[in-house]
Parts: sequence; structure tokens; C-alpha cells
Amino acid sequence: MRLVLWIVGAGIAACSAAGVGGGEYGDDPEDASMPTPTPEVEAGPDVGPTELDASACTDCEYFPETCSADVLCPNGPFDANSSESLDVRTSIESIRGRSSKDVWVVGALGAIAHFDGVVWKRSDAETQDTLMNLWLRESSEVALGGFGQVYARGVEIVDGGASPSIDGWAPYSPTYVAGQKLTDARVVGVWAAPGSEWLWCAAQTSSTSTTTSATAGLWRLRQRPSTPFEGNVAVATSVCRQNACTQMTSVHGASADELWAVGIEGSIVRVNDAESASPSVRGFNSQTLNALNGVWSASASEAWAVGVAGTIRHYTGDPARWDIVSNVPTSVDLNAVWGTSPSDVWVVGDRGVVLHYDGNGWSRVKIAGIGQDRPDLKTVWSAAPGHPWIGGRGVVLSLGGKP
Amino acid sequence: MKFRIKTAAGALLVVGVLGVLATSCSTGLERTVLLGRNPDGDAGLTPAFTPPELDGGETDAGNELTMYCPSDKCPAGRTTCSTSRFRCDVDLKNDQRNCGACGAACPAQNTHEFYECAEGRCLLYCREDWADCDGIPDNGCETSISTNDNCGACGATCTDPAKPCVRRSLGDYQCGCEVGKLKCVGGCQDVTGDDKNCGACRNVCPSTVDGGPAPYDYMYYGCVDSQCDRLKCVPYRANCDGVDSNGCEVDLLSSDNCGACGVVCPPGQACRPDQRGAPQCMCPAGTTFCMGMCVDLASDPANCGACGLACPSGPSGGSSAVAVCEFGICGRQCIVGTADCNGNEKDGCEVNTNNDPNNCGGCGVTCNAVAGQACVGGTCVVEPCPPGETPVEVPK
Repeated sequence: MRLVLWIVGAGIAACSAAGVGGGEYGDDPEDASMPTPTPEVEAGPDVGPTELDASACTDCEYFPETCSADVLCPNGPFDANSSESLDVRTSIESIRGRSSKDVWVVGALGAIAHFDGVVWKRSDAETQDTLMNLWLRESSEVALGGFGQVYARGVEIVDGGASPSIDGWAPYSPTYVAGQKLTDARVVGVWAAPGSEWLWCAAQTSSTSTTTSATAGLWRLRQRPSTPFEGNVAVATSVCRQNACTQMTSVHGASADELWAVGIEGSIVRVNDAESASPSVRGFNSQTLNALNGVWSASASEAWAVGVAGTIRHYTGDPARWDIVSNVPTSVDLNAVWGTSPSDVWVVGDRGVVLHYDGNGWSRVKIAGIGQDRPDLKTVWSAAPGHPWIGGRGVVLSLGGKP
Repeated sequence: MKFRIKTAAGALLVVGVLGVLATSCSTGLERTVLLGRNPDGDAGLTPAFTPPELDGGETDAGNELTMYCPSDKCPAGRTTCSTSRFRCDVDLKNDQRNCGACGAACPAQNTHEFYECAEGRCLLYCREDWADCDGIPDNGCETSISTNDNCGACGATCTDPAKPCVRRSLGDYQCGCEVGKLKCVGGCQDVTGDDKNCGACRNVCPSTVDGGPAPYDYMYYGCVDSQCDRLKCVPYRANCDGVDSNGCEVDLLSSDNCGACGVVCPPGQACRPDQRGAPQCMCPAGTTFCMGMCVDLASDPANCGACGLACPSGPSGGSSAVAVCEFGICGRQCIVGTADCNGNEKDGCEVNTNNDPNNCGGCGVTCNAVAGQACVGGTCVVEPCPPGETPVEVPK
């Protein structure tokens, strides 16, 4: 007999035997509060090219094949034909620069690379630590992922310290006020205003608790000649518990003394007197409990914060509250924000999402030359208006791919 | 820090709700639908769903074709109880709270025993040190098997007073210690080289000998072969050349003699004490020394991207998301049968894809071919088509 295969659907055989299964139905127990599926096409790293057919590619319009001036294109330390290439599995966690000819990236498992305006070159710190942050000082570079060890170039080696790598990086163990060392905390975001003494660190511990058991989420590090790096709790743990700054993800300020910091569960705090011995913090109403992953401040009266599920908040000078930004053209998790002016703000997120604000509204920016990959983008920095650098898993992007 | 949540099981093959499933049944039933079997039969079968042959070829001679249609009934062994959230979400064969019938909960666990629901029956399991010697289920595991009357097993007695029932190792009770060991405070102790129990319990050896010569370098007087006042090496040193006059000349934390004489560490590795303090060559390529262990910073959720930095385990309040470390970056994965459909890490993997007919096997996959069609094991329920009824494809 010839088997005619009908369209095979999701099927599991029901039992029609009496006494098993049926007959116990009450009111339909399925409640009506089912989560709404995210409308984005799931096209993360789990999805290989063969699994993405044309009909499933609902976001293809944002990923053209050909690079052009107003489209983001790869320009970074990922080149399969180059010995200087980083492993394509590497997630770039931070990208910062002093100018368009002096750009650094750091990322997973000790990845470091530098762009001199012409070519990217790997830089080896001889570590497997994931480096999530960069602190570019006038004559030195510092990379760090935790509080236990930082890696720096151009910093004097202390007696007994490890010798530098071939690229000049050496590990340093910062000293902390007794009892303050956060060995299990990850430094998720950092910020230091030009010329400021302190590097502010947004920290998150492996516990997701924000309750009384949590520790402070805002720390500071500084570089000194005698003990190259020393740190302390910037805001007392008890104060952070009251102001929801125990689990923080990002920090930025328009000046050295006034900063914004954001964290999980929608935390937003403003730090005043940031360079003083006793900074103060005050919590603001973000109007969300979604985790916020990035903050960027344009001025004392304007700042942007971004977070999970397409969350964007805008500060416009209100004494207590940030404004909800509606009509955000994505619902993916947004990971970082940076800008050069109130009319040039960039946001990056999961699945290759890049947004730009031109002073009037947010729009989606296209990415060319990455095929069917939809990398999670983690970091953005802009050297000048219209000149953003964006990093994520296996990519570094710039507009038009220009240096 | 943010954590991308992924589904561990990956997307199921079935992505739409199509109303029919066709398969051969006369000889190949066990290869088709297994999950819904009657709990009274087919014991030992693992719930599973095997799709029919997809090659579009012909059946074996004599095989008949069975058409399957969408169903509003529960598969065998499944039902809907008053506590159910979804239709057919109770597995009477394995549900501790509904073992064999709705509301028939297995007894709570206690210090002596615990119960598990298997094939619709609550099975008694004794914890270590306890046994059900009288065979009466109502009093559970009533007998301690760490006594002279029941040493390691029901009725195993220790009659020699010199060899009482002792715990040699985890779960191993025997009459008397192993040869060379005595039962001292803390259990069976090796008394052949223990400076505090030398040849007998609490026989403490002096570290010097009155009138005796001063010990050589890295040596002291202690317990050797159950006798005190014998020269021996201090910890982490060894007398590799056998000559006493130069003492214990070898450092056992060196790469040339790591833990023992002549043990050379491979290139790129160093000799370090492990978590128990024992010298080991560490670490193999691709791993990093971290608190006495060699860890892979690229994949270890407890040391992801740095020694001691663990990935958060999940949102507070419980979650089916588990922490994972992917190439040095923390993330979360949904355990099988769950999914993160709203993309919000705050509520983790909030959807039960095993039983939710609106997200059956994946986000947004609905079971609606007929009213009341349930989702079981991440698959929409079907049943053999009634005679004369033709399966009809239901559009997505």
C-alpha cells in the first residue's frame, strides 16, 4: 500500500480510552494571561544559515548586502584572512577611543585590539579574563572585567609585579579599603570624565538580589604612583540599598562631578560630587522595572537610558522622573547608548539592532555585509557626529565601513 | 550586565499547527506515538514522540495507514486536575502531587525516607543509614543500619566487640575498620603514619627526641610505620635520594617533583596545591588556575570570563532559566520545556512550552485545530481519525 503522507503537524496521540484523560475537564484552566510572543524573528546565534529561509527573514530590509555611506558595515579586528583577527566568537564588550585614529576594543577571554586610523591590530595582555571595560587615560590604557585584577599599559610596574606582555600590558591587583574587596563582582560599566581622578564602576554581583543582602553597586578606582590602582565603595552599601544602586550596569556623566548610573529593575540614580570624598546619590523614577543596560548623558539636563525589551527613557530636567519614550522601533533588548550631541544619539541592542536619534525621533539603522548573522551588539562609542563605532559578537561596525 | 535567554532544546521541528498526522500502525505503533500509552502497560517506556516516516515512500507490505486527527482529549496517562493550569498537564505516572489520580500526593520526604512517583505509584526510597527492614510501608524506613544489630544491611550483626559497626566511607558500614586503621575519634584513622594517632588512638608523637640528634633539613621526628621517634619529612618535602644527611631535599611543589619524586610537569604547567592541598601540575592548555582548580573561563558558569566571577543563576523568585557561560560571556538558557517568549529576563523562561497550547513546543505555536486541543510534551494532541472522517489540514 502506498503511504500518502499528509501534512504532518504538531501531533501527539490522544487516548480515547474511557477513564484516562478526558472526563475531568472543568472550566478551561488555560488562563488568558499568556505572554505575548516577541514579534521579532528569532535569528540569534543559534540559527544557522540553513534555518533561515527567505520567508522567515522579516528583517532583511535592515540587513542589505552592499555597504553604503549611511549603512553600518564591518570594519574591525575580525578578518578570517588576517593573522591579526580575533576569534569570531568573541563578543566585543567595550569600544572607546581618544580620536578616530586611536580606537580600542576589548572583549571576551582577553580580547584587545587597537585601530590607528588605518589598520586594526590585536594586542595581547596574556590573559583569558573577559575584559568588559576600557579606561583610556592621557598616556595609559586600562582594561578590566572584575575588581580583583586590572590590565594596564603605560603604568609603572611595582616591585614584584608581573612583567608586561609583548604588547605592554601588565596585570595589577588593586588595593581596597579593608573589607571592601568585591571578589565576586563584575564591573559591567565604567566612566571617567576627561581629566578626572576617579574611574566610576557600575558593578553587579552574581546574586541578582537587590535586597538588604546586596552590596553596593557603585565603586571607584584610581591610579596612583605608589600603589598603581586603588579602589573603594563610592556609595555606602546602606545608602545604595535605600536608593536602589546595589546592582548597577552603566554609568556616565556630562561632567566629572555629576553622573547618572542605571541598573537592574529599572534603577536610575544621579551621583553628585562624584570627585569628592563623599559623593551623594539620589534615586529617580524611571517608570519601569525592566533592567536598564546603558546610560549616556548629553548635558546636566538631558540624558538617555536604554534597557531590555526595547526600553528607552529620556531625562529632560525633571526633578524626580525620567520620561517614557514610546514608538521605539524595536522590542529587543537594548544594551548600550552613546552620542555626540542631543541630536546625534546611538543605541545598540540584540539581534543586530541599531537605532539613531536625530533630535526628532528614533530610526532603525541598517547593517550591511554580515549575511544572515544577527549579532548581539554590546557597545557603542562615537568619535564625532556621524562617526559611531559599534561592537558586538564577532563584529565591529562603522558607518560606511569608513575608518 | 544583561543575559540573553535561549531555549536549550532549540526550536522544535513542528512550527505550525497542522491538523493531521499520518502514520503506519499495524506493526510500527511503538515507533509512532509513545507518550500517551496506558499507564497499566508498556512499563518502562520513556515518554517520547517519534514522527512517522517522512520519506514519502511506501509502507511495508501489509501495513495499514492510520490517519490522525486533532483531538480534544488527553493522551493516555495524562489528565486535567483541578489544580491544572493547562489541559492535560498532569502526568499521572510521574507527578508527585497526582500520582495515579488527581490529588493523590506521595507522602512528604523526611529524614529517613522519601517517595517518588513512578508508573502511577508512590515508591519508597530509604536515605543513607536507614532501611525498611520490617517491610511495612506505613512506618517507612524504620531501621538504622549503622548499629551492631544492622550494620550496613538488615540483620547484618557485628558480634566481635573489637570490631564494632563503623562507617568506613560514605554509605559503607562494616564491622571494624580496614587493616591498618583503628576506630578513633572521627572514624577510622590510619595509625601507621599519623603523628596524633600513632599505632593507637590518641598516641601523639613528640616532634623532638630527648638526647637524639637534631633532625636534618626539612625533617622532624614523627610517626612512621606506627612508631614514634622516626625521622620523616615536613609537608611538601621529600627525601628523594634516600640520604638522610641532606634531609628532605626536594620541594614537592616544584615543577620537577610535583607531589612525588620525579613527577615533572608538562611545559606550560606549574606545580600548585589543589583544593585539598595536594600538589598537582596545573593547568592544561585552555584552562586557568582558579582557587585550586583548573577552570575553563570560556564555558564555566561559576568562573565565566574571570576566576571567581559566577553568572547570575536567574531572576529572584525562581526561574527555569539556568546560567550558562558562552565564550567567556554570561547568558541564560531555558531548561527543556520552557521558553522566554517575551524577551524579558526579569521573568526568565516564563512559558511552559510542554503544556501551553498557545506556545506548544515553541513561542507562538498554538494548538487550535479543534476546540480544546491540548499541548502535551510540547506537541499538539491528535488521535486516530474516527471512521469515515477525513483529516483536514488546518492552515497556520
